[in-house]
Amino acid sequence: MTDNTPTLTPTQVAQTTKNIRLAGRFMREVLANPTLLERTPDGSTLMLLPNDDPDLAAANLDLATRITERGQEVRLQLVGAPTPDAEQWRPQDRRGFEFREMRPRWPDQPPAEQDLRVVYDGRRDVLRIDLYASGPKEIAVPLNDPLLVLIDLERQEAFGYLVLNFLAGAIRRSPGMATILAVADLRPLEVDELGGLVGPENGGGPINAEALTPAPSALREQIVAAVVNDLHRMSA
Amino acid sequence: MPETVYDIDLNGQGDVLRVQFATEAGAVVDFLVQYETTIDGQRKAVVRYDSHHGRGHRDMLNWNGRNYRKEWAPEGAGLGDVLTWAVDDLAANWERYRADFLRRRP
Repeated sequence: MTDNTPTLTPTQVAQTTKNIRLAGRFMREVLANPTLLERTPDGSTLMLLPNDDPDLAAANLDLATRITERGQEVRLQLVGAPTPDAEQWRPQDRRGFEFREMRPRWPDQPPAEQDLRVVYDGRRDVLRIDLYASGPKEIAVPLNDPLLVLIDLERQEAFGYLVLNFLAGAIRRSPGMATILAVADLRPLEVDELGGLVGPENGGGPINAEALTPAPSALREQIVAAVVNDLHRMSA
Repeated sequence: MPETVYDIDLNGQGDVLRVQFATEAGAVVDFLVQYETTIDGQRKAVVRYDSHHGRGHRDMLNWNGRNYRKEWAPEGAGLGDVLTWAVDDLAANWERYRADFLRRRP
């Protein structure tokens, strides 16, 4: 009979022992505060991250990364993090979160005109460009300053861009992008349009965006295409 | 009694702690900790610590999942004490328990 039981290295043995003790700390936290059970879905596989042992936390995070690369799901759970002093902050205290690998890519087909959406939020100085339709769950992933790519979490596909500090920074690097404002819908972005980011309320650009006149629709595609080319170049 | 189960990955090599909490009126009233290892792609429970039955105990498990030896936690121990007893015992002895379990392979 063959035995395929993995032989553990001394490092893995040490990590296992530390994680057993860490699991004990996690369980003690649950005994003291059973609401943790409500915030961590039943049936989860947890990777514990100690607040006070950076070496073990790094090793466990590395392990979690390898587990997700194998296509398995894992949830990171902080252990030993201090409880917020202020009572009203405690409901917002997050100890656990899903950890998953994303390999987003752009769709194979070109964007369709009806999906194209450009919004400029002058108060936050954030430009949002949707090139493709998106589902209800999205996230903005930083590519480089000031550019973020918008990812549809269900399809794992990129569908647009967020440009932070658009007037204050981005168009200084690429002045031609200012033309996008001529075709943009000028309005505040909703929180769920910010891909998990909430920008400063008063980061505002130096112009009164509401005063701009939208460009004729014939120019719209041309302008957007030019700006998207700039963004693709910036993201490379 | 609502129960919540988590698997805590210990080393990415198939060694896992399965922990289970039973709650009543928002308080944890019982817990179970089970050390499992993976053999030939199958998870096998090696040892289980259980606060059920009003007194904490440890069950050493056979290849078929049945208990073959039971040991009791100190009498009068509360949930926190049983947890300390279980974690201390497992952290000190898990390698030996795993090796013994493999030796009992039919």
